[in-house]
Amino acid sequence: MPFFLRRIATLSSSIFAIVTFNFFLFHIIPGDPIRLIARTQRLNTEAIAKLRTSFGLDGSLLSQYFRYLSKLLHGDLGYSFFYKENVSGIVGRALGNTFLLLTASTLIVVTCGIAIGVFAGSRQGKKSDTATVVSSLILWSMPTFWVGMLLVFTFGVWVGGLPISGISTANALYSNWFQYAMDIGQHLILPTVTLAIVDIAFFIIITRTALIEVMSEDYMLTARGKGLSRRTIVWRHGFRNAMLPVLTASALYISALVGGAIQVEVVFSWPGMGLLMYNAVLARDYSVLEASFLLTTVAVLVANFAADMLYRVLDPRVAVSK
Amino acid sequence: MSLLEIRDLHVSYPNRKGEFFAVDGVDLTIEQGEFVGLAGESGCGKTTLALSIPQLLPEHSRIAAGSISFNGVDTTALNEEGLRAIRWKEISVIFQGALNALNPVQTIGSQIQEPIRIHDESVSKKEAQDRTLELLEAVGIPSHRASDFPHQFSGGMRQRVMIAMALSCMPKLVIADEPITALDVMTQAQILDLLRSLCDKYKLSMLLISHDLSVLAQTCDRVAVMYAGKVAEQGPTSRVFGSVGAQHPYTQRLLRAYPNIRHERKFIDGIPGYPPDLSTLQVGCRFADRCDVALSRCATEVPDLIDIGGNQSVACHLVSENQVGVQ
Ligand SMILES: Nc1ncnc2c1ncn2[C@@H]1O[C@H](COP(=O)(O)OP(=O)(O)O)[C@@H](O)[C@H]1O
Ligand SMILES: [Mg+2]
Repeated sequence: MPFFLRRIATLSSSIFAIVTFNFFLFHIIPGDPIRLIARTQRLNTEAIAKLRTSFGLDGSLLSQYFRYLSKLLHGDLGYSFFYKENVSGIVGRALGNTFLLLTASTLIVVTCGIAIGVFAGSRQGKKSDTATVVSSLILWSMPTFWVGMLLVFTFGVWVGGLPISGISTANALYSNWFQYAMDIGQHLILPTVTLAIVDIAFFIIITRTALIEVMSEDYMLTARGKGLSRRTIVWRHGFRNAMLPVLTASALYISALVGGAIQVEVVFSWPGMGLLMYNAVLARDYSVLEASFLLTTVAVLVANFAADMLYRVLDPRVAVSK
Repeated sequence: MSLLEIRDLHVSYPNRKGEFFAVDGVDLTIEQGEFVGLAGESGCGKTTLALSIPQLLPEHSRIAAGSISFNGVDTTALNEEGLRAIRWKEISVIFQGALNALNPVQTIGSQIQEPIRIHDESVSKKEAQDRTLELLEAVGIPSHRASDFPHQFSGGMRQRVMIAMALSCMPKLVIADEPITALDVMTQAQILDLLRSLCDKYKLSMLLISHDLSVLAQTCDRVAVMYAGKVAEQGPTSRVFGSVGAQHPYTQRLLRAYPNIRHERKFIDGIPGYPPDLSTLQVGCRFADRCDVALSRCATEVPDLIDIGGNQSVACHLVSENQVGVQ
């Protein structure tokens, strides 16, 4: 499939551009990380030179760049003096945790958001539709961190019953694998709900609008003329067409997700990429920050690529030109 | 019993002042196996009349009065379930603007096949598939294209797909709403011939809508001409376009207004003015403003549809006065 290959090539070159941009961004911005360390730890010139080498900060910018590329290809993202650990290990764990959180919330957002959007859109103008729109708009206008804090307050102070911080109970001993999973699951609830609550509203509204638009298309009258039931008309003929603009809007959603994840992870101390970046900024941990930026951007690019591919599956009109 | 008997039908749409009647007291009959043409400028209520038969009008419309008896059943009295049972199975529609009437994300094969098993569960999947391929061949599309999507077809081909789809349940009545309007002249003639021959072959009745009388003259057994929500004239094609000729001044003007689709005429004589805005109430004959031969009473009295013999009827004061004179 040459189209697919072409799209892969575009993706790869975008990733390469991001890698390059990211490298120069971090090597040009003011604030020398070595000086930062030297200030706190009182080092002599020799030690500083050694540090520079170990950071890959010696030599010309261009030679640093090529060294950086070759390390990157070997999966080496550098070393964090803040954590005293290889960045790839730190970022790898954080990425896994964020992935868990985003998967859980995105599953809820996409399935519930779309289902409710279709429900409202196929009842345009009725009371249930108006109620859905109004509550979606209210949810949509709530800032993510505020919702998070509200939930922390509710479940941490008033009601209790749900963990409000971290990914698992500190110092807990688990007798089996299942117990461990249950603990993580419990910790997952509030951050997921927080992240989902605002974004669900977004999906409800765009799905509803897309479906209403589709409902007035000529082929929907054809479907009615065929004697199909309301349900069949909406789901078999309307749904897939309505999903096209929703998918396009999801591309925006993917980028917005990063911001939402940072807020939620900070509020709930969820040890993911968002919290990692937040702490790295506070600690001026450049190597972690650099790697996080890179991975986040690449993740967004890949997700957009996947959305684009899905669009092609759904819409035969833009499908592969031979 | 006639296949379709529409009596005194009034259909309204809401407007700022309340409602206006897009169909205003129309009578129309279609016999078993008959081809009836419905003509009139755009906006005169043809589509509204047609879509009221299987009750496919938008929700905000209202059937204010009258009855539509299809095969002895009044469709205005049926509930949604009853309507679903006759839609496509008994009455199928080739919609106006049919180029967008096909779902862009489904193959044409699946769209043609879809109503077959909805209406008859005893048909196996295989049988439905076979029937779909047969229908495609019948409308002149090679059956291997069943798995193609609508955008892969030209306008004329898409209209053929629409025709195959309209026939998939072998309905008693096919409503074709301006089926050739968006097509080029060559394709128009082909599609018309196809429609006519298929309906003959399967012994279906058809209501063919067009604003072009010459199209109807070549295809239909009987024609009705609508003006501003009312029937101005109706009668057998052989009379209206033949021996007796069109009687209503509007029909006469309409006949001169369009080039023949097979033999392009040189001069086209349009009707000056526009059809009246239905949403403003009017007294008298609605064509009076644009009529060359209007009498003084045309401005104040609504003419009734008068039978002038030979199954032809006309709603025109001038014609009915001449009739009286003849008798
Ligand atoms: N869905 C609708 N809602 C409101 N008014 C409509 C609608 N469809 C048609 N009309 C109005 O009804 C009148 C007749 O329209 P229509 O039946 O489409 O005429 P035709 O098919 O002869 O062009 C027009 O004045 C048109 O503006
Ligand atoms: Mg019309």
